[in-house]
Amino acid sequence: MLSMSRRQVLLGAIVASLSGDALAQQVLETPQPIDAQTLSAYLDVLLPADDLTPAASALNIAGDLVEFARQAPQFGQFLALGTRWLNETGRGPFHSLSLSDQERVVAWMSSADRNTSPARFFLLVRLTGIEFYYSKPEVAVAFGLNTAPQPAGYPPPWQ
Amino acid sequence: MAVDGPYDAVVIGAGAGGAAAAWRLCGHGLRVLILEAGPRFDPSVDYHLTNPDWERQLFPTKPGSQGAVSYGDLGTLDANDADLASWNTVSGRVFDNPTRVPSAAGYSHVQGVGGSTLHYVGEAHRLNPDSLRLATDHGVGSDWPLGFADIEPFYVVCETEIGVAGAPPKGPRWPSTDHLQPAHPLSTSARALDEAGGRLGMAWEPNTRAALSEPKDGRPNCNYCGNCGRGCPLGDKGSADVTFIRKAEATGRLTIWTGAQVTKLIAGSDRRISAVSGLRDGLAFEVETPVLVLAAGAVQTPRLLLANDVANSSGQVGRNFMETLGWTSTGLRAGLANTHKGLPADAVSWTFNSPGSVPGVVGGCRFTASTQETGLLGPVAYGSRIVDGYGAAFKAQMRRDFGSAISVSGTGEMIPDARSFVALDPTQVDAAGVPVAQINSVLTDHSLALLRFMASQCRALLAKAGVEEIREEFGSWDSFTATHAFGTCRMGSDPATSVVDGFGRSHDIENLYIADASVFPSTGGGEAPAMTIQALAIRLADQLVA
Repeated sequence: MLSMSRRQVLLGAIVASLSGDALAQQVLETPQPIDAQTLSAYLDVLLPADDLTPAASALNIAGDLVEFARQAPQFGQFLALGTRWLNETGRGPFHSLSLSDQERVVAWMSSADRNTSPARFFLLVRLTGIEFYYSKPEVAVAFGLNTAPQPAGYPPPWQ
Repeated sequence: MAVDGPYDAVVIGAGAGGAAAAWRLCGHGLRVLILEAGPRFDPSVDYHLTNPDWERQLFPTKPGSQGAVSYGDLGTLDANDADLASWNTVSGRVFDNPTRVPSAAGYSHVQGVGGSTLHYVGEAHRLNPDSLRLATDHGVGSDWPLGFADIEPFYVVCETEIGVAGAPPKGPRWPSTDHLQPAHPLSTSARALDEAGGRLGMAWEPNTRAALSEPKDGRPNCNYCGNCGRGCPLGDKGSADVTFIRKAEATGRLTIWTGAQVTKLIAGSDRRISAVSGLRDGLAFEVETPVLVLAAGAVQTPRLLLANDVANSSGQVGRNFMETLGWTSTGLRAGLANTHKGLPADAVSWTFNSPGSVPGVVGGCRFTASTQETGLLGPVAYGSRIVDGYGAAFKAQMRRDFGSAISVSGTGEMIPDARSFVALDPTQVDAAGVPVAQINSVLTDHSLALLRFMASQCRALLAKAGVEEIREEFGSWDSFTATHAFGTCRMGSDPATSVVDGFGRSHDIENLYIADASVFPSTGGGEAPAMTIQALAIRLADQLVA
């Protein structure tokens, strides 16, 4: 038995979230750029710095997502749609808003109806952001993990 | 050193069955050619477990490492069964379709030298002796044309050659255990399930595992990284490439052609196959052979036979397809730690394995400690599936929860059904022009009843283990995931109702043998099939030279 592939689930969800959405259709028909500054600020709300680990921006997670989007064009269009929407939520681009305003936007997105584009953006960027962020050695050490499972493994005993 | 032709036998497929058959035939002095459609994997290059981003990588794919498959009817969902839906606390319902759909894994297999043993976790199971007579004893399915005593000596051969660790209680299934390596230590989550099972009347024991607890044949013992499914870079896992293939190549009598897809079985005189032909890395080849062993698995084997319209006077080729009926529940238990460390599927419960042991259901099932097997091995899996939220609170919660996940899985018997079969896809062909295999697999009322029992038992186990809230469940109701596939060229005594005899020999073609799980008349009660495939393949090889 195997676990489900996260990436396949992600891409499936992206396709599902784009179909039937009028705004998404506009983006699909006319590709838009991803606002990397807004994406980075948004990821920092999801994954801020704390005592043990850096913020997403310090590890260039936004850059990882943009690079991943080059291999998955629909994901790139999804990021473009989402960052454009984020920039229209306040009195200026999302990355220029105060942290408290950014947090208010993200809080609303996190509790929105899951069938809406903002909620899907929240879920999918959270999933992909977590995948890249928690794959970084700088983060793994906070869990007491080896940088990789091999070659040391985890010899017993385990308590 | 490999040999050039002519060959005494040609084997199609280098997976569990093909590798074991080739090893035995080489041991009998035969010159053997394996035609493998997929590539070789180099663990030191292809596997990712030393990379910092290891958790983003599953078992690798390479050109040709997946067989051509499409999906037909997988069944329609009844909303009344939604208690069996797949979901997790982060994403909610994973599949939201009116019909059952293939998961990302779908027909989960590896085409290559070693086959699906490259990504299996290495459970080394023997079939329940009582599971071989479902038709006679319970009036469903089909009997095996052989008894457990016919297979048992070959289980011993496999377990000895591969290096199986475990400490099963002696009994009809295990008349002797002296040849086994010591059992592996149990992970923290397996110990918790063992204790919980005791309070539910379920007996748990260390699983029998094709992973070395002591060095053997130049292979090291396992170091418990938990990632058998991503490919074992050490070689302690008993995949066919480091066991039967390696030993067969050491005889100097085995040749392997990778990237060699057989497309035609060429008939000779007197009900025999005289040669096979196909494409090797894009170039045509043809090889004569006095004996052909087909070991391409329960999907590609019937595809090849159907595409060539051979060995099917019974009309049973492709019929009786049986998949893996599975269920998994996961929760977090406060106080539990380090559940990502240890051997996947390290503990097993056979309490409900015998036919008739589950109320209202004919076939049996088994339960496994599955925290590592389901991939809860690093923080990516936790944050993606079982720890919700965001921000500083989420990051702190991740550090508190990591290592406390506990998963339990049930795997159960499938009963053959007319709606479940492998056919040639009516529209899709592969690059060689051969129609792809179309999988049709529908859950019956029996399957749903057993699935519901497994789900109920998994939930009860987690509750008894101290889990207050389940965070993830997935199973066969809304998605098709088959790591094990069976039945599409079943064995039997009657040529009118079966494809091969009890030794895997075609009823129609004298020199054609089948050595994979397509010959299984029934699935057993959830046992992993690799060891049985290999035992039958070795038995077949002995019969072939007798």
